[in-house]
Amino acid sequence: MNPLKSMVLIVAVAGLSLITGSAFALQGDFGVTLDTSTMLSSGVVDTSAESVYKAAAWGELFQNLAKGGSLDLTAQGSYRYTAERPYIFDLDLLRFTGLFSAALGEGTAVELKAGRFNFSDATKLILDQTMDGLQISLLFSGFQVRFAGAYSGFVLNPSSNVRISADDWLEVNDNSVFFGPKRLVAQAMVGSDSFALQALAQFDMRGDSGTEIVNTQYLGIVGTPRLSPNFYMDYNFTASYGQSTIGNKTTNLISALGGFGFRFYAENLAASQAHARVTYATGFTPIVLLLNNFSLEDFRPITQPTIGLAFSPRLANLLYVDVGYSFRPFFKNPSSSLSNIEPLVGALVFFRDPVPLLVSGTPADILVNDLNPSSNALYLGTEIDAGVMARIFSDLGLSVKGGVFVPNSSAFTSNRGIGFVLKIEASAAM
Amino acid sequence: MMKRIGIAIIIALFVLAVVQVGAQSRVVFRTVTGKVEIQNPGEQAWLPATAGMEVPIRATISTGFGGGAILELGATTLTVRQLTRLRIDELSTQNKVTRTNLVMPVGRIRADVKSTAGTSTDFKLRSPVSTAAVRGTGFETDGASLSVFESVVAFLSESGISINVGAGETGATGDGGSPSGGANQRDANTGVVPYTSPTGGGGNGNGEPGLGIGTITVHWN
Repeated sequence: MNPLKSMVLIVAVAGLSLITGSAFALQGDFGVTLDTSTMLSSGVVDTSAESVYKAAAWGELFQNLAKGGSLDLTAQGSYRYTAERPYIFDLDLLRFTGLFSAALGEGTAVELKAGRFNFSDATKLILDQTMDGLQISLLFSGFQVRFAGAYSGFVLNPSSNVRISADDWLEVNDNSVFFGPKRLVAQAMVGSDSFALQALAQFDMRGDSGTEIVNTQYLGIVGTPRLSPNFYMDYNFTASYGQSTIGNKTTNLISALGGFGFRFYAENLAASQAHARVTYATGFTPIVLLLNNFSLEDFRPITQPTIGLAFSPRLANLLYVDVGYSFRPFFKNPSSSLSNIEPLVGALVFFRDPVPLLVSGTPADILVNDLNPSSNALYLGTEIDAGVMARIFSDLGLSVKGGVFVPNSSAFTSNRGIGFVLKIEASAAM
Repeated sequence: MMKRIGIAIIIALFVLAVVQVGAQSRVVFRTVTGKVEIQNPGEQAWLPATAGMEVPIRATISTGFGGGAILELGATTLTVRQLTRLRIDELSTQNKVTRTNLVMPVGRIRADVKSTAGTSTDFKLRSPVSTAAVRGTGFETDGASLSVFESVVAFLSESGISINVGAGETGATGDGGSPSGGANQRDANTGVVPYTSPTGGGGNGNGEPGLGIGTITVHWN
């Protein structure tokens, strides 16, 4: 059977299975999970304590196919409570997965996912968001090819982390906005763990209702090759091109994101793992090249990653060093409660992008509210984190993390002092 | 006379070749601990295993709770852990290649695969969800995951897609058609996930519950 015919057959079988539901009669599972997260902070203006409580019910129907293939339908709905938004009923997940073995010949498989589920790029720095769409992966020994398309406009605003344009940012805490920003996202990836080439694009679907329309495209490489039995190298580089349209004026957005680091694992040394990583995202840099003026702009990811616990600026005009170490002191203890305790420590050192200072003599403004406009300081501050994660039982988990951010007083306005944040999470299943 | 010597040499070479082609190594219990039983091919009865006992090809070995055994397959050593069922489908040497085919429906074994001088190894262990094909010398598996101690093991998912798992690494069959390995699998092995949601629903796909705290803005006083 030729590949095109195979693909048509796969899509047809998947669609029929999804519609009828009868194919899932053989195996099923369901459950309820309860999650809570409380964040306490000291020295902040507008946030002193924030708690989120979530109760979720999930169910799964599953059927095995020939040669290791399978059909799976998983759904999860939840109720979430916060003091600001007491009633958030959400559909967290509605995912059909079809795995079709040997679809493109022996030693291959095709995986089809459709519905509402998590879409992410290989770095998780550009895209990491639950959306509604379709993903098809062609799996071969040693590498895979993936195509995905998704829409973010049906995700509730409090659940959406899609923040690209000025309009998106204005809606972050706007309770009158029901759904998150409307974006169409396309993704393609080919490669393996050691080297992958990925392309992403997002298209702003606000139309005339937006004051700023932003479309962006990304092309990059990413990988984690193994250097020695316990060492891996992390690298990624992404070039981004985009268009920002305000009224009749369109500005081209040229920006870049890069990262480089190492990971170390030693299972025999109390399951130790350590990492050191540098991440760089461009800031506004005017450049004159061959009498032509253009500029590098602030990098704009599709979703904003959470960088630090106590200090998490936007991923733009930023260079930060991230080091961390964790271990499991009772890793070989027969008690799973003791074995699954993991203390961790880490540090993040933040700088503004040094390139604008080198090129134009002035550093670009980082996107935080209280930056000292007259300061040329590149160093922004250091965050120190420590915590413990524990899976006491298979159905009970706890996480306690604390972070201290020590700012560079000359980079910020004078009223910023040392800040403390404590985050406590508990998770139970039944 | 010369003719007879020539015929004798030809016959000797033929016999040697036949022996070489059909050579079948022996499988022997080196040690037995606790309850270990063997079911010979074509028989229903389970017999208690003892150290020094030879294991016929296509026999099935079963270890009970707290039981275990060490098997010698030529130069290769298999450590069979408790609550394991293992069948030896093939152990032969042909054209300087020692072929070993094992089937493990359930349980865990550690394999230290060695070659005798002048031969290479083709060692395969199949479970209901994976196949481990050895190019190196040492690994431990429960069928769903595999830890490698020496060199490289090719780890195939049930759908036939393979990854190479190097010394110190772990391969695992999980959701999806591809077995996983490399740094991300080691992250999963060494790290503790405190989130209990089996679906990873609403979060980032790693089990985080997705509490809607995408961006936290903290302003200092």
